[in-house]
Amino acid sequence: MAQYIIRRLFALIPVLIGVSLVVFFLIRMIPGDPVIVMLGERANPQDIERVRREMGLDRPIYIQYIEWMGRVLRGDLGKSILSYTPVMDDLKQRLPGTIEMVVAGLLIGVICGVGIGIISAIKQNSWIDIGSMFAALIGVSMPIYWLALMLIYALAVNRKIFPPSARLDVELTVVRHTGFMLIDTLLMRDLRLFANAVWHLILPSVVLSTTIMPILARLTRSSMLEVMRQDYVRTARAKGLAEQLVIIRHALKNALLPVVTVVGLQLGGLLGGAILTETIFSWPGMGLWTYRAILARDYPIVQAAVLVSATIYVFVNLLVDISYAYLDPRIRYR
Amino acid sequence: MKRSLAIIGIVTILSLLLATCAAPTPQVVEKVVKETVVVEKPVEKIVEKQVVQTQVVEKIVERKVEVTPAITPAPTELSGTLVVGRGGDTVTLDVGPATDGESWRVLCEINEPLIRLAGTSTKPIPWLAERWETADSQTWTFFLRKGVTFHNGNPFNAEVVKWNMDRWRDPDNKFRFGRKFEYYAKEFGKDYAIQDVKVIDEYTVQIKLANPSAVLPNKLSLCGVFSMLDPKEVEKQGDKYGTPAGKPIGTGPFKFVEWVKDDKIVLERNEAWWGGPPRLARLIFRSIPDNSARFAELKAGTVQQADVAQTDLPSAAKDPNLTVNVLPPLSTGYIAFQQCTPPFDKLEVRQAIAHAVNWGALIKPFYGDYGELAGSFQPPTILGHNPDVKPHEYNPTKAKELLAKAGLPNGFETDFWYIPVIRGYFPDSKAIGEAIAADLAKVGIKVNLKTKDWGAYLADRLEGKFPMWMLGWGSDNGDPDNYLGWHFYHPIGQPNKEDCYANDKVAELLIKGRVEADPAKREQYYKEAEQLIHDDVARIPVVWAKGTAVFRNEVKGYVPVVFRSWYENLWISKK
Repeated sequence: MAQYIIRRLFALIPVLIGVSLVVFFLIRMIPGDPVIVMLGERANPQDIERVRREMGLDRPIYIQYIEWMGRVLRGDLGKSILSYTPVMDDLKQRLPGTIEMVVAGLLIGVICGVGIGIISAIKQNSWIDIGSMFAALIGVSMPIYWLALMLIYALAVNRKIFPPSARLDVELTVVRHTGFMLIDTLLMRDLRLFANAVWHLILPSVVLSTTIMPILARLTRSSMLEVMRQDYVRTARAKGLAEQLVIIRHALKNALLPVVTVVGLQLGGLLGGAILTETIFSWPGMGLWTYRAILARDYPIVQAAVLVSATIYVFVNLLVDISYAYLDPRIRYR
Repeated sequence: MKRSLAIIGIVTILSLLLATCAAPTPQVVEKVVKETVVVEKPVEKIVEKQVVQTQVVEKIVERKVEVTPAITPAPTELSGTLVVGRGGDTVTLDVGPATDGESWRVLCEINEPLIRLAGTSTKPIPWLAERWETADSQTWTFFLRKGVTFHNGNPFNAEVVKWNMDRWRDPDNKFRFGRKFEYYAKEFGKDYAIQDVKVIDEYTVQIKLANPSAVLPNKLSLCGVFSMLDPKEVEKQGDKYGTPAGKPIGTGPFKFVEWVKDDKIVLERNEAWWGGPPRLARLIFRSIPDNSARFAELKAGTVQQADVAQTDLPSAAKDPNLTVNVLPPLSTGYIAFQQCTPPFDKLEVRQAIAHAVNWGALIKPFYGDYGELAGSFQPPTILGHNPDVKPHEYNPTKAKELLAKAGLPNGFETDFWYIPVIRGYFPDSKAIGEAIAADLAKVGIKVNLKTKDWGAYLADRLEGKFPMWMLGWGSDNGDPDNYLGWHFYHPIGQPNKEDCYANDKVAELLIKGRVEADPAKREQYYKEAEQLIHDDVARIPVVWAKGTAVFRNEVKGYVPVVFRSWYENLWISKK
């Protein structure tokens, strides 16, 4: 198993090289360059030429790539073209914010999605089943952009139950240790701050969770229904096991295999959804950062952000593969 | 390996998606000053306000920032936090390299320039310099305000000014930390570079430009770029200065407290400000990227001022808790032509287009009360605006006659490019383009509406690839050299590639305007140039767009001004 993990980690290298190549050239193929976007209406040919020279953008792309790669290997992601801050500093600021929201969204999505799926499967064709599957259909076709705004208006503007945005009330300050608001507030031993952070996290993560919840609910339901008809479930029931044990230990564990696969694959959707969610909830995370960098053609940021998401993606898929072995002991990795 | 390939594929698709997602977003607002406008107040009222405001400005000139008794709050109200909601975060808090409105907005509260512009007019007034002198527009002497200190207690004096100017003008200055000072390069360039800075005594500085330029005071008023930093602090903080890890220090009314990237910047009152302490205890700038979410926060009261999108302005004006302040126009939306290639090389064709479209009918539906039909290219706030230049008369018959005269009795077909972004001067570029196209079709001119990515649009326009296009301009520093001069100056006999417009007489007037020190003479040159440009139909100015400042009613003390935020005069009423 350890060997397998090491081998998979080594496989990360060609993946990252491939990704970096694609991103590096792709972002430079999009029309418009940082100089023009930066100067806007004020751009004139002399300035553009001068700034391009100063930024080193007039040199052949492959040389720029080799130089950049050389720096990345030394752990230097470069500096933002616009703000001159080291990309690594920015990354450390934003990554925890996104992870916090994506993990919270993932947890809510998985717990609720799988929970609803199980109940629907057990109570097949009951009003709960029909109702929840109908809701799932609506959920899967609802743009989260719209949902987020509706929730803000309903729960933050008209009724002030939740805050409309941000990670913390504007007058509060947190001493930064990890960048994870929930952890940092706990480290400060201030329950009021922690509660404030949780309170701010709820709306965005619920909205984000709707990108995966309906899919997981439907998938769990169909997968459960299939497993419940298997012989081993009948055997488990026949030997007199309590129904809860049958469902959790025998049915669910087997039904979860495809669900886990989909959770891994849906991570991309979650990261994509995070762009919209972060934008609407003014959440200072990776999504908003990457999105703005693409608009401004801030190449170093876009490259770093894609490298990081690719790495996360590979790691999550590795975790998914490892969890297969736990869920189904017949699966062995060598 | 298969999986790796799949992952590469997925990530590629993901990055492609990211890239394409970028296109259809609701807004790309660059500068607050240029933002759009809507207010449902009668025009007379606005004029009234402007008068009041001039008085305030007058006072400030005489007595620094003494506030009139009418708006001085009761002592119990000498506090409060104002939270400002805006579309994007500040990029940098180092004055030299800042190029965007969101950076300038915060910098101008922390750092101050030698000169600022008076409220509603664009006239330079003393700020950190008490007065200045020049005989030839080339050598300038600045007499500095005494007793000004930085937030850390360090004194402001002539050495400080010299240090700052040396930092602007020398690309190899080690305290630039490799940053590009784009606006210095733009405003001063080689031709008008600061060649020498001399410290005459502790509070007197003399600077010499490469060539005479009467625009210098206006240029120096750009507080986001030409403000004074504390040399000791920059040297101490090194390349952290201006980034979220640093702590910017200035002489301004507010002191820096904290910057959480993409979230908020917190400033607090500078008790020791030379103009007297501001009333607000704290000033917080929050970045709320989504227009609807930002407006929702303003309604919910979690922010007290917000940049409101044009589409939300009518709703804001109706909200009893909000006040929409209309600012005087400071930008122009225009139609431009490539005048070296047929058919736009013919004056009659350009005139025909000017007469074929009912420009006045575009204002109400697309701008409401927040735009004005443009006559001359420059709006009335800019020196040299020519009130005698009237909008082109709507007269399709005349347009047809002109086309026939140009040898095109049956009209012609051409591409017409509209901008892919939302701007105050063209809030709905495509729809405005369609309305223009419909009018042009009536006289036989068929236009194909086209657009492309903003970066590519700007680049192609500069290359002179568009036959006819829409674009706009907002003033940077209130000077006509940055308005008419920017668009219509060309070296004698050498038209600019962009539109190929060539009128040496205009170029001569614009050069004279740049050099002449007497404002009355300058005004005359620019007025003449306006008339020539109008007669040549070099461009068709369509609209002067007005900006807005939207506050919750509990914010008191605001007067609408062109270039200033006025935060030091505001306070929050507890009632």
